[in-house]
Amino acid sequence: MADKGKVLVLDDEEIVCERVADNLTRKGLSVETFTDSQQAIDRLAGQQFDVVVTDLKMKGPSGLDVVHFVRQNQSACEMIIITGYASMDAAREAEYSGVYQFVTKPFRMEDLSKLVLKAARRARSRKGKVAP
Amino acid sequence: MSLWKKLFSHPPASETSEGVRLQLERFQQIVQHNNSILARIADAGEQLSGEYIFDTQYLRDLAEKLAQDVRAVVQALNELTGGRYQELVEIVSDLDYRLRAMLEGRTVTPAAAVILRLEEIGTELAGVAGEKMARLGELSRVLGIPVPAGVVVSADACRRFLDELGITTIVTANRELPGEQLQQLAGELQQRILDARVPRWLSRNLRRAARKLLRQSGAHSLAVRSSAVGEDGEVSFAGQYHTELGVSPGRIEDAYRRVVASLFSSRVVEYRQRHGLDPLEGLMAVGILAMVPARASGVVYTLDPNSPASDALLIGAGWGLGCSVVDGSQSADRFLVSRRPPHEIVGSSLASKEFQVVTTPLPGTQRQAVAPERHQVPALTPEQLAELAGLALRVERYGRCAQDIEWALDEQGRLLLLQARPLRVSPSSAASTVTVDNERYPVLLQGRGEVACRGVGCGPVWIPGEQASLNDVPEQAVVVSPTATPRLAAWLPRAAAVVTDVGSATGHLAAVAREFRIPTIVDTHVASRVLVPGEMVTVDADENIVYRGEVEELIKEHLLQESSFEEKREFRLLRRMLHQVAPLNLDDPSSRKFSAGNCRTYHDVIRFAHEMAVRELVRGRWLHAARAGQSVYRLAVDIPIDLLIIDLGGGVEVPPGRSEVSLEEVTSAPLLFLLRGLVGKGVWATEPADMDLGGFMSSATRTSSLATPLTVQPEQNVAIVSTHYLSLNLKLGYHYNLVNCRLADDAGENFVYFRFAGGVTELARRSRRAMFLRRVLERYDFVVESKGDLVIARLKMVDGERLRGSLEMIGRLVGFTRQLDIYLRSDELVEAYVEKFLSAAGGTHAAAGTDG
Repeated sequence: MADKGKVLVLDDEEIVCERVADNLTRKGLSVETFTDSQQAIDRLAGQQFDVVVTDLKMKGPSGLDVVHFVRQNQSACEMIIITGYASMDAAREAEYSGVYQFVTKPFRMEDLSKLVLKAARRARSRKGKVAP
Repeated sequence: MSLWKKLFSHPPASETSEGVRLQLERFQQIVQHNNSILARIADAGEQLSGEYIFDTQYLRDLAEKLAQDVRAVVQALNELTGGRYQELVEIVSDLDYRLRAMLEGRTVTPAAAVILRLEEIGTELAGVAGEKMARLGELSRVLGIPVPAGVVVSADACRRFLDELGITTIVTANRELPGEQLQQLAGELQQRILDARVPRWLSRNLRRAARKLLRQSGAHSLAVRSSAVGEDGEVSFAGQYHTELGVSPGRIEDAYRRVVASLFSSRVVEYRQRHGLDPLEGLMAVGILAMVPARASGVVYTLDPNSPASDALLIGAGWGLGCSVVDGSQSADRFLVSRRPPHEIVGSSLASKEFQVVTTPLPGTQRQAVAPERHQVPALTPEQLAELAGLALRVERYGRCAQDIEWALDEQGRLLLLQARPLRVSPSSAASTVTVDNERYPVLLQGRGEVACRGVGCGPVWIPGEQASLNDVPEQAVVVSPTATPRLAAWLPRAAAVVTDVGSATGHLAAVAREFRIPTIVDTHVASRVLVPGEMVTVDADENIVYRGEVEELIKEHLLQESSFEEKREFRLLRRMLHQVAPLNLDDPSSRKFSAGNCRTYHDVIRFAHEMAVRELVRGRWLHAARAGQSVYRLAVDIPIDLLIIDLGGGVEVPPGRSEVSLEEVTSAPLLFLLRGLVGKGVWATEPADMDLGGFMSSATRTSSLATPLTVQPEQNVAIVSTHYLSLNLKLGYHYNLVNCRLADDAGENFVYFRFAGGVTELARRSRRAMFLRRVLERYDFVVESKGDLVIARLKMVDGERLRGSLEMIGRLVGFTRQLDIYLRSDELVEAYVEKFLSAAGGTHAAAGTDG
């Protein structure tokens, strides 16, 4: 199956990583998972991704730290934030400007994979423009 | 004087109107929390479909919010009734404690008898009988697979035993000990158990059970097997605990002690720690099984772990008892047997089997030499291998994942299964994605409808007819149905997959499908027209596709992947949590068991609280003081039902000061639709029924108090309503109707409960009417229970439009059946009236008896 995009999944709960990875892989995406946010940041420092799917609250660097890191280092990369809260405080949401989408746990796997595929397409077309 | 007269002949004292408002508010709170709890339970059930991704935090939140809501219900009930149900506070605390303990990885077990019979056990009792024995019981009970006769000493008995030895206290106090000290403590606990005297209450039971088992089975000795609670799934504990073979009744206590003590063996403690479980907090149920004097025995893997993609089962077999094959101490024959009937041998390697372990007449086991001429003889014949493969694949289909099974061949040549558990096979690569050859396997349906339970199932299409019964369902068929009727639920355990034209992923059928883990797609609109009966199809409910033919690659991939989500700790936890939350044991309010003390789950608690709150409101003295036109109204309609409406808010729209409300002014959706059905043209027969002598005599000797009591026997017909809610108590002549309903557009919280009892004639006729009601209600997809003249029907999680139709139908039914028992002079007439009612349902509604 053609590679539809490179995705990094970060969540401190293993079950989320495993199941998201399993599903996205089936959709033709290539996926790396991390349960440790520092390790994910280290990886992001050395490897370009099309989409980053990250949890918000984690031990070590938070989802917000990850967002800032990606903004500074991988401008074409799209970000999807998974949160445990149904509605995010509007003021806080502003801090995440540029984030492609917020997903509330628990979420339907099908919905997330659609979002990721769309985000990956956006990221790729943007990269195409940046580096023709 | 009727309540109505009393109510309006006594102007309310001004100081009580505040009390009335408060009581209504409390009732409203109970209803609201009730709805929110039911919605949460439904939502949690849906998580098990595999369609969602959730984490431990979700489970924690679920436990916390459920506890909050249930506590609020209990508090409001106690305020409403002057603190009459304090007992519930304790019960809720205990349930909450159990859920939290589960979340923390601690083992909790429900109270249970000391000894349970294996044939009564299934996986629903895994918390009591341990996973291993629960599964064995289920194989025998559901699939009819031969297993040894046996009993289980419950996990609760183990808890009491450990409590009495002071071990529970020690474990609680030392939960945080560091590794080395932990191992030392575990060793001390183990010794304490081995040195202990088994208490009398336990030893008496053990000996009695052992003797009885030997007497009944004709076996010479017993196998005493571990069956720890929570050892299933991802954390398999395979081979970690002690098992003892060839035990005599006189040594049963020793064997029991040794099995229980293995909870604290150093390897188990380490294993638990490694898997994130509380290292010391295990509980052990113990299986006592008749020892099978095996001629041969061994193991079956339904997939070859070394080559899972191949199409073969792997069977290991040796002479005598299986212990040497299982623990690998002796080489065994290895057979690769095709997974397809007739299960031919596709490969084998025969070992030289020089020794075997056998049972001895003096209870015990013994290692002995095998006669040289049998060293190289295969331990199973090709026929036996084929039979074993067939049995193993049945277990695999039922378990929905590859299996690791222990088996024995007894002296009569009969194959028995001793144990079955999910086989852990690592797929060659997590990314393995099967590409289905669409020319070979054409796509019949794709992306139609909603996945109600993920998974892959394959079998011949079977479309049930109107009158189909359980016996008609071919085993492992793909059941394709135009409706999602709850009738299908009973057939699910036999189905390989289910595809329906209508229905929703939140419906009752979907919930049952998830419980049995049957791949299910609902609401396809076309399945029953597209899929041809008898045709072999593969349902891929992971990707929502139905293929023609048997897509082997997909089936196999699924068998390998199944463990990747349903056996995950979070899924198992949620299943166990729901078991403490969702089952409804208190279903019939008129039953003697309907009491606070009998509430076993949160669902029981809220059902009980709701019922008691209704009673309080309907019977409450405060009602006498209610001010007409404030919250209490009388319904003005053409039929004589004399209905009092208590409005909790939004249930009626009446100008201030008016005490009567017309049908048009009813804004409570459930009441409105029910009434529309009830007052519909021709529904309400007004002429006196033509009663024959039998019916008349019965009627003449029957009084209201003799009629089957309804939960609430109001002096007055009462409806408690709000915009989306209805609790209706309606006595029409000798018939008692109870309707509880929540009706909104969102299906998730919708439900209707309908209870009908009583009648004027002798029981035979009233029973016929119950039969009539049952037939009609089932046609409308209700889940119905009936006994004598009592009928209880439930429908839940259906969308607003459908529920409106169901309520209108109930309204018609209540009117139609008012005197129906009088006309039901023979069983044959039941069907005629069913047809009459159903044919009238679409247009003009006929009343019972008008032409009968």
